[in-house]
Amino acid sequence: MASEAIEKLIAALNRLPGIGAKTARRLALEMLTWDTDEVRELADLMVDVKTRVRRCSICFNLTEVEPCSVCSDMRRDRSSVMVIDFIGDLLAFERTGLYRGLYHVLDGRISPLDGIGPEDLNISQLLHRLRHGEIREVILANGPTVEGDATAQYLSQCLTPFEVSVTQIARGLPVGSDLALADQVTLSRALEGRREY
Amino acid sequence: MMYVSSLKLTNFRNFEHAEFTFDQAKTAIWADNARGKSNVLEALYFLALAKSGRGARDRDVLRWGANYFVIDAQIEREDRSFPIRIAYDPLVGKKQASLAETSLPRLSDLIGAFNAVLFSPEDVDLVLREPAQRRRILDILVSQSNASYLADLEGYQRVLAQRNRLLKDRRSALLSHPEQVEPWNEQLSNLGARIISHRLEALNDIQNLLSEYYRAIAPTPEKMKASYRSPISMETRDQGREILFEALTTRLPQEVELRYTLTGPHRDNLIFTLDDKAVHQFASQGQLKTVLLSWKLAEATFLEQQTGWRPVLLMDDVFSELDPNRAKAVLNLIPDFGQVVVTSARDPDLDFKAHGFRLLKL
Ligand SMILES: [Zn+2]
Repeated sequence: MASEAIEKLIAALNRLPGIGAKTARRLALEMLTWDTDEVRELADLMVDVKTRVRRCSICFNLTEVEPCSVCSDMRRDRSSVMVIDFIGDLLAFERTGLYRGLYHVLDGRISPLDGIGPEDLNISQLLHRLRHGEIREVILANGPTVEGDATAQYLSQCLTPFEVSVTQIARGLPVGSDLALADQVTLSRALEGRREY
Repeated sequence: MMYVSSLKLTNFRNFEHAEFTFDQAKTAIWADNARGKSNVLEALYFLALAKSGRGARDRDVLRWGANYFVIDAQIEREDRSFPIRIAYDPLVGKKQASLAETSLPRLSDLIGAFNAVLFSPEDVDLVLREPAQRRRILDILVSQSNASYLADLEGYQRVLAQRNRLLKDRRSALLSHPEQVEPWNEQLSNLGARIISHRLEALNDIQNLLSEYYRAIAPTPEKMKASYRSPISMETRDQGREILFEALTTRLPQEVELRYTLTGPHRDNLIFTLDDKAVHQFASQGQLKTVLLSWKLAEATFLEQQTGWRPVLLMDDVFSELDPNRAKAVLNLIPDFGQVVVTSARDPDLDFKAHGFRLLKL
């Protein structure tokens, strides 16, 4: 063991997704070669992000202001809301620049194997928006996995009492893939090809 | 036709490094026991299924003390020649397949690129007596002929696991909130009906081949059939989906009690019969072998009809396992197939050379 401090840092970095023990060690050793100012700047940035970035109380997007820039943008189509599984999917759709409506981030997919039920997702908040807003169209853009499909089907059951049109984006997407990883052409085609649920 | 022209094994079973070349003709691998001739066939079959056809786990086929294995092969077809590589690293716990030097995002993408059929005598008892094993050989047959079938099957297994977990975890809460199980019923009945209808179609297509091959090999004239037993009797896929959905809905209370899903293709049965009597209940060892062999030969011909490519036929120790009359009958059928690789433990009475086999001594 080199020092207790460095072992602690390695263990902390190791908790990040995609960072294995080996990579964590390399990153920690790399930081030791930096100037103290550079390291402090990085640490400040991390604290800054944590204290300033929050979830939008309406759509669960990441934001520094309340509500987020999408929800407060009056030029967007406020009658349409797209339901997505993760924030990464919102960013992917925004990159296409094609969708001009609002979003709702569920923060997951129904998956009993992972202990995730409907009550663990932001579903009641979506229903609240439908009850008190001007939304007329719900676009289901859950990922093309069996869990994404189950989530979409569960939502469509919940949406029947509302007078909204429910559509689902076309599945031109590679099965089992993540929306966030799909390229922009694929996403925009999927958006154009949506159909009645 | 489609054939393997070369096979290179690294740390696979007993082979540290081994290279084999094959021509498109018939090959007989000849060796004493424990030289690993079955392992060569297992490796060839691995190229078709992306896993062991003998049901072994990846780490079990790893050579003792080695920390990875690689199977490299070159496949020849009239239209093109391409390599397949399957590599396994137990540290990452990952098996990676590449086709024509392009690494595939999922292993299942490999299925269908190269087709093979394996007859292995150790399967006779196992496969014919166990319902799950009989479903498995049917699934292998349909998967190799239809790329979407495997995707449906994997989706079905996943949905089934999700639904069974829900049955275990939520139990009585599900009875008052059936809407939680409905999305899974929906998908299960959709995929289940597709799976059953593909199985029925394939069995229908293979039926005549089965009885022809059985009659060609067996000294006695029983009629061999393979029939599918399922509570979901359907004429159309839509009808099957409705029946399955209905069964999933009405049996929920019982399923909550037992904590698993009672209806669907995972519970269906494939029954082999000779003159309408189930072989797993009464057949002799010779009849069982002939039944499995007929299934495998019919599978090879079926795959050729469906895909347009003759699959590679792999037969492990088949001739020493059969009585002389049946062995001769099989040898006479072999010219109808494409590339054939057989193994033999001892110098058999059969003259492989006279039947056009190239001998490969291990
Ligand atoms: Zn927002």
